[in-house]
Amino acid sequence: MNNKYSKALKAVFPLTLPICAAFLFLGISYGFYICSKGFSPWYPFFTSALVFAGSMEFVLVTMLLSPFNPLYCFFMALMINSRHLFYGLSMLEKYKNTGLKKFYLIFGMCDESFAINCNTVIHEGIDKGCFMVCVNLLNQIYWVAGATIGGLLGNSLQINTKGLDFALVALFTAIFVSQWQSTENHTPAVLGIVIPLVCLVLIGPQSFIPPAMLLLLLVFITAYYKGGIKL
Amino acid sequence: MSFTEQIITIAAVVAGTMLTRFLPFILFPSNKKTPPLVAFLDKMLPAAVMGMLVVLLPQGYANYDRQSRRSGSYRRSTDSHIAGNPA
Repeated sequence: MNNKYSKALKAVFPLTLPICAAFLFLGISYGFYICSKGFSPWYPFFTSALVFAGSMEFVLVTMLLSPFNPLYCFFMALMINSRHLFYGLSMLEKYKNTGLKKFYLIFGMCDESFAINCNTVIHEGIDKGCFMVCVNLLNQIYWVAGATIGGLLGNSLQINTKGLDFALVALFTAIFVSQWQSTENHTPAVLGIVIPLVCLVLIGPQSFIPPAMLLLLLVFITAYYKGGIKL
Repeated sequence: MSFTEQIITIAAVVAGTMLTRFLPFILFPSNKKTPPLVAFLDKMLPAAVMGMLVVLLPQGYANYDRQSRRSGSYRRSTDSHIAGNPA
């Protein structure tokens, strides 16, 4: 049991290093942000561990400062995180036969964990479930540690996080390219770039994701019934 | 907002976020046969979603940056407030 996890951890840790760098510092900036609004360091600790969805947590701070309206907050969370629905649909097959680990794998399915778990070819001899749990767990540790450190340091330190995001964008582009090279049918990848890009240009950065997702879904469903895209 | 209201607000956000993560697995449990259309999407979506993430992420991080810069200016204003208030 322990051996399975230590093997998986050894394979996973190097893969998560770019995420470690970015999450620690982005987490710190979240901790700064929420504590600058007068909240104690417990807030970044608990919210980052329980919500574990970066952009949502920044919005949560605004919600905590607004009049009490939990129903609105619930639906906002649904909207902002609607992209997770696609992650779930993509992982139905991969999460099969992972037993109780599945619960944690779904709970901690953030953008970065999804990207690694969905696209990494896991070497033989490493347990699939343990591998994916390690990815989620490490990423969550980085994020919660960053947020808590940020909360504890509070106003005593200023960090310029500009440019840090580059590590993650580079990571995602690398994953995208390696996935491109490992598949013969590039239609889904091309659609995945073109449709959101068109929506971004037409609608703007604030709300282009839900329409982009709907369009992608429509195209794939049409392709399924008309047989336009081969499996 | 009282402490209880804060906890309810955080719980509502956690519930909304978790619903988006759990819903596909609740709708299509692994012990039942996945409908062919969903199985097709399961094959098509990973590549498409990675493309979407490459477009989406720089937007999201630009947003982080704006937020934390805003918090910086807020901090300065609270500091001066505290400084001007010896109590």
